Amino acid sequence: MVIALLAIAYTVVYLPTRIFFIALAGIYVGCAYLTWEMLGKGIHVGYAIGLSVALGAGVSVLCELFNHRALEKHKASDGAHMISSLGIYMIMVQAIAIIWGNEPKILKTGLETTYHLMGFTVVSSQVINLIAASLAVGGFFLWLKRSSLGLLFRGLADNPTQMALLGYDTNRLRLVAFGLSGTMAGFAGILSAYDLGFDPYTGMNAILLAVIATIIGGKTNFVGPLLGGLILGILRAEVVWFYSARWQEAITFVILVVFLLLKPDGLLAKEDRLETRE
Amino acid sequence: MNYMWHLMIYFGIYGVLALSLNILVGACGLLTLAHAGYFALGAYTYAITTVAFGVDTMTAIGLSVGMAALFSLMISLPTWRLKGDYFVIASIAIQVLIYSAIYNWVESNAALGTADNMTNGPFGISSIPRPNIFGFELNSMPKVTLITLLVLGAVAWMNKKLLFSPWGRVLNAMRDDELAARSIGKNVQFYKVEAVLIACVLAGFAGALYSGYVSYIDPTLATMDQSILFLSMVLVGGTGNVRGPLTGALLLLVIPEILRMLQIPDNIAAEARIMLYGLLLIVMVHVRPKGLLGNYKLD
Repeated sequence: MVIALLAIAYTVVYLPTRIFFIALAGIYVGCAYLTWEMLGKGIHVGYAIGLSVALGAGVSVLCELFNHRALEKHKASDGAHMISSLGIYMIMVQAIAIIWGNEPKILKTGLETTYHLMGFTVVSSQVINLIAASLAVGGFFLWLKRSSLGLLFRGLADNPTQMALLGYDTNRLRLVAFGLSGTMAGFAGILSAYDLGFDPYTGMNAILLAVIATIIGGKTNFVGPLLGGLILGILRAEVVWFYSARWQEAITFVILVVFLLLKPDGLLAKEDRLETRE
Repeated sequence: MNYMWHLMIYFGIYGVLALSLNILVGACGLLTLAHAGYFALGAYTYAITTVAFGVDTMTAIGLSVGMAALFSLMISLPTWRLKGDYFVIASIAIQVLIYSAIYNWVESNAALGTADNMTNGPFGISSIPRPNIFGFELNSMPKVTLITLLVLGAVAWMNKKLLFSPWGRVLNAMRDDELAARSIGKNVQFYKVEAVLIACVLAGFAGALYSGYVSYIDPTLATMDQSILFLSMVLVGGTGNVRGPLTGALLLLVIPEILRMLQIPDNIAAEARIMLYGLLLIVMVHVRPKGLLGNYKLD
């Protein structure tokens, strides 16, 4: 479910702007570290999470303001956006490594209660994770479908140029996209840090998983990444269960290659006219 | 003095890598993040054949190059259908596959080079013998430097000949407008396979050189960071010609040495270096998208 949340965070930026937003990986771990730091200082959990997620959203918006908007003015290519985002990611991760060190950390403390449900054994952190991530995803979809800003946002995701022609301020809507994406990525980062632990380099892996989930599910709408994230999460767990955790990454990327070759538009792709394809 | 030789050898190896990557990034417009994988593939093939099977240097280099050539199909087949961001992701996937194969193909009680323990996994392979080219043993730093720089010169010359030949022009045409290239009867898929093949072969060759010189290798050779480093060399230096990638290789080699002279504390030196690379990438994209000496604006 956390993969699905991050996949949606990635899609929120990708659909309207076509930016491969790698810096999201930096936000993902950055938020985990901030929460860890604040919890260490004795700040209440709710405030700690809220503050770090807000900071994550802020950083994301700053990326748009100072990097991608300027590049967009130059009509820079997708590759340029991606490379500059990669640069931002490298700076963020190394800054985190300098401040907090390279050792793996984990947010949860103490032993956990285990539950037995229909023959499965689950631990409390996983339950909390599942519920929190589902709430976040549900909240996002509710916002998308019910609010007026959500409507504008769907328009932007569908066709940015036409939105601009209709007189909407696409720059401001883009800021919303980046802010939202940063919020969700930060929240996903905290959740996975709570359950699985984190070090400065976990972000890259997570964002790659998210992108793979998006490719599996289909990139033309917001349900695709959700579906892809769920499928990918279950498959990866199965690999660990039946085989070995060592080959988890390899299997993930084999799935990706299979999808890229056989169904590059994902499971939920609509058949487009040929000339609208990229 | 040994330090200077060491730097020059590294410049030779990185130069070959940057030039090989230039064929893909500069001439074909394919951003790949799998190059470190091929570099490691060459290095490992060389190490395993010389250490475990006692093959002589030239055969080992030949085998490394052959392996890189064979596996280059993993990159070139996706290029037939994927473009832009999707190709980047596919190349990352290939990188991860090569890395996890190298990292996981290990069994602690089997001998190196057997089917159970091909790569020695995270422990790496040590005491790789010095190269011996037809009886001319590379046992001193100046000799290694001489050979490496000769190789670099040859590769640079070849690169120039290739990029500005009719073959190179077809690659450029493909980069700028694939449909147009196809419509004048060029077999685009075949050209892509060729370009990727040459680039990967050179990377494998650089890997063999590296493992012969350093005589110890481990899976960190094949990490994403390495790929990003190689890509930064090409992007910072400039793409599409010979002087650009060479400048980039030199610059990214010299920067950490300058940091070392500035007496930055050891515990943050590595991080500071990568931060600086990141900053360089951002500045380049904004201020000079062509790279320092490049003649093609990255797409």
